[in-house]
Amino acid sequence: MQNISEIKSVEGEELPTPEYTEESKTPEAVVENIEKPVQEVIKEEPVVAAKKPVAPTTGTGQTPAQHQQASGKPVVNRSVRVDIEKLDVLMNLVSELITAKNGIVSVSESEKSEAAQSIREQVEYLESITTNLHESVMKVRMVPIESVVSRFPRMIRDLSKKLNKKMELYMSGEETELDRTVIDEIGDPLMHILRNSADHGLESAEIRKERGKPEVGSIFLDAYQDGNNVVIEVRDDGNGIDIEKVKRKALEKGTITPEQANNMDDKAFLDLLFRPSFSTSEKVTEVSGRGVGLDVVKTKIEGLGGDIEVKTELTVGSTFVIRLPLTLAIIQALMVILGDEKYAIPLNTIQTIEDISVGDIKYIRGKEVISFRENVIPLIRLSDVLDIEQREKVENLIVVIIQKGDKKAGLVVDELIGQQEIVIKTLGKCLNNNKLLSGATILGDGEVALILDVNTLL
Amino acid sequence: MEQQKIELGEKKALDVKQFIVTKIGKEQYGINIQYVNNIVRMQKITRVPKAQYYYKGVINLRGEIIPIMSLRLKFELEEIEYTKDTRIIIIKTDKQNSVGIIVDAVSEVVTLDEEHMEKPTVDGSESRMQYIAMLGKHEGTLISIINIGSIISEID
Repeated sequence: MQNISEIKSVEGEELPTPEYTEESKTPEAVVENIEKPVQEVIKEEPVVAAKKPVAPTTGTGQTPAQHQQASGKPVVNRSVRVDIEKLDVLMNLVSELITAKNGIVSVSESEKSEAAQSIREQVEYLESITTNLHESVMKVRMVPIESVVSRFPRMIRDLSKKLNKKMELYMSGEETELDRTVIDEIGDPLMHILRNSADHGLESAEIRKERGKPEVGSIFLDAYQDGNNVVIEVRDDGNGIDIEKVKRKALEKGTITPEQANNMDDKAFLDLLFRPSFSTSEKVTEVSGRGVGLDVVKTKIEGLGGDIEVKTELTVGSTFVIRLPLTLAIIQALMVILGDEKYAIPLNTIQTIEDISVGDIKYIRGKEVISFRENVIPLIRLSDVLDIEQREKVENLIVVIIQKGDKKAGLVVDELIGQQEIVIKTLGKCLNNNKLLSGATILGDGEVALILDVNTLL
Repeated sequence: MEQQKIELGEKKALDVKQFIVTKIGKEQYGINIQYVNNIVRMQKITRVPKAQYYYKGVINLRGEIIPIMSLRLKFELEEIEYTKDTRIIIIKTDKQNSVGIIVDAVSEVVTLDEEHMEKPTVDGSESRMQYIAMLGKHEGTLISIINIGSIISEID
């Protein structure tokens, strides 16, 4: 990686500076330059940097590949501008390499001979290389979210004037990195949520004073990495969401029936906010209140493979939590068997796998639940959900406990295959699968396995 | 797919299109060759739960996942057992998306010009007529030209 970037930066120098001509005049000289030890090239770098303004890192369709030197040398911005399409090609090649590797893995595992043993060792080596390669390519595609959020403080200042409310935006974790394609898409949803907080969230100065809050409202935008996810939280210390009001509005509009309302908890009411054309705002303002928005935000975020939830406390404030996957294309998954079909469950959503005896199943409102670590969690029979013929009844169920945010559920599966690195492929637009599946993957033997979307199961 | 019959020459001025002729039962259906990406033999189809009834599932075609539709089910006909003649026609719907459709057999490629095509008379009694764009006449047989857009874009 290091060497490639060196080559690029030398070749990219089209107009050699006088100091530089001696070495880069002829093609041979360039080659010579490449073969030099890295340190030497770095030494020359300041000359280059001084002569040529550093390219802006946020050019459209370009991904900056930043290489920070670990040594004590002064940090010079040494980056290469690469077309995102070239990176996509690279990523696809890595995906195919991993599929091919999975093929070799499955062949080598079926062999029992002694020769197969050494093949297996080499395959393991290959496996670690492809994993590292994938990680490196992914890192090249990563961009700090700073490039998106840096425009928000100004937007909030403008809003503050327009809405005649005093407010301040506090941001943290701008250095958190996300895949370039996610970065391109996440700007609008974030902006929408911030505008929401500024307009609906924060109260007017008088009400704030009454409630003993500081006159200046605060909005926080925190980004951080959490395992295989990047979490972006938008929090305000405003009014919070009035769940009673949401309920009233939903009944008024016929979004839900009174019977449904009786069975819904606070969380379910909050989910209504993400329904299309739902707004609790009494008046439409220039900033918001039209009822288009949060549903678009949700669709967009789910399209990126993430999810959004909202937490709120009346008069204290509300928090929107956006969770985005670090990588879009390749994930670790648990392969399971249901009937005679294979399915993949993303590993990052799995908490544990338990053996549950049928006798331990309890019923709440006619639904099966189990108690797990002092929590009561619903049991989902995947074979029912996926219309798979159930195998004969067994005494002990294999239950995969999944978790997303605060929500947990136990998925009943027939058999476990094991952990595997899989490449996510889309199912296309034509198939309607009620969002149960987030895609498909090709297994080592060329068979197709479907990937369960845990979000819809919970 | 035997030989291609190209009847150029005197009909040069007319709009000439090529169609792949497929069979479903006794009827012949034509698919404009410009949409066809590939024709493959029947292979293992992975069922996709909760999909539309006429989608049999997905296949792996050289590393690509392609949804497979049964034209028989789509046309509300009875399904038959797959034979050695059963084919999947891979249709490119746009740059990124492909759909495969299962047909009983693929017979040939024909070239039809405007003179040999006419609009079907609309008869509401048969639901599958909504998927037919044109009727083509070729050597005394009738070929129903399928409107590709209508069979794959419909969301229900």
